[in-house]
Amino acid sequence: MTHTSSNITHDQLIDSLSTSLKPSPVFYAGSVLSTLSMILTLLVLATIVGIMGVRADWQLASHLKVAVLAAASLAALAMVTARATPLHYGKKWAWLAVAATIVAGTLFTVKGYTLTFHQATSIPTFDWCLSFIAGIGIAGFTVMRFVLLRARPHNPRLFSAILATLSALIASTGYAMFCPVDSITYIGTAYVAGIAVAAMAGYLFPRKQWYW
Amino acid sequence: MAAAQQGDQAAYRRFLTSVTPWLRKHAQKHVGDTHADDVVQETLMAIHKALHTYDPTRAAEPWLYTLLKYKILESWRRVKRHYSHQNIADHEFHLESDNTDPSINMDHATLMQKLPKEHAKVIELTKIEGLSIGEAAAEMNRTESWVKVTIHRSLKRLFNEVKEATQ
Repeated sequence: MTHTSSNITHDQLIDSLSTSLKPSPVFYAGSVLSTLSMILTLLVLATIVGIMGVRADWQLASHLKVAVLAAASLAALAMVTARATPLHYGKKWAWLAVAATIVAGTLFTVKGYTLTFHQATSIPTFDWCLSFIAGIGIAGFTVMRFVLLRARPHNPRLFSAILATLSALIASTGYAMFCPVDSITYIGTAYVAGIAVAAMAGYLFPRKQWYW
Repeated sequence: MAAAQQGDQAAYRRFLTSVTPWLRKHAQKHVGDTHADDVVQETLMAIHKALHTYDPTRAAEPWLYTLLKYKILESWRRVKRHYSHQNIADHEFHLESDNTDPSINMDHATLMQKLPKEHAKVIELTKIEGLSIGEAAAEMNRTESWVKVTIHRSLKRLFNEVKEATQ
């Protein structure tokens, strides 16, 4: 048997690995992540409906806004599921979710009202919106990070960032049901900033056990 | 693999033993003999850490090949880093080299003459006398940044000199 630089033969390593083997049930990333996303969605909706309240003036633009964020959440869920294990088992509906995000986003841009960047950032709820999305996003990510101990992504930092993005997108979908501002500029500033903060937190804090 | 996932140590041992030649063959093809054994062992450890991510309803080969592929990529990255200039400065280039190839044995004094006096002194202090960056900076009344930059540039220059001499 060939010796390596560490002077351990393959046989010795195999002996050591097989001796330390413990039963390890299959990790189904899709089921775990879907369940976690569902729980987070319910918690966010409970917060919005129970505490903040759903907006009363629903119109086409507001439906489209929620649709954009919900479709983006599904796309993020597909991405994070595919990346949770070394071998990417692609989800057929992932492209549908991406396509739905683009279509709903385009329609929302047309149907939503126009705001300049300055107007969007001057809206009094801007900071609150950003903080809610970032805060709930990071809280959700922290729980998911804790639960997903058995994930083995090939790129833990990227996986962690997408996981946090998923969490923040779920938070923003819920927030969109309360938020009365139906403008793509507002989504592109307040919402995206909140999501970016959560994604950055995810990027900075991948779980040690994810490295293999 | 399915038995191994349920904790069957004998089945796991048989699986790892049977898969090792296959891993080695593919590793050799991509990283050569020098690094093949390291890649195989790293892949065996990766199999152990990621065993639960294998779906027994699917073929094992793509899963195994994915683990091997990432370990090969890591090996390439390591080699690339090893030969980067920074690494040459830190580990590779030794003025008092024990290299046995006579074609690249250059006289130390001759080599130092290729450098400006101040640069040669920095190399003498840090790489031969073994002073730290801070100590060398204090000795030469210079800043630590200047010493670091000078070491980097000087070693790069010396490396090129040796490279030219061997061609």
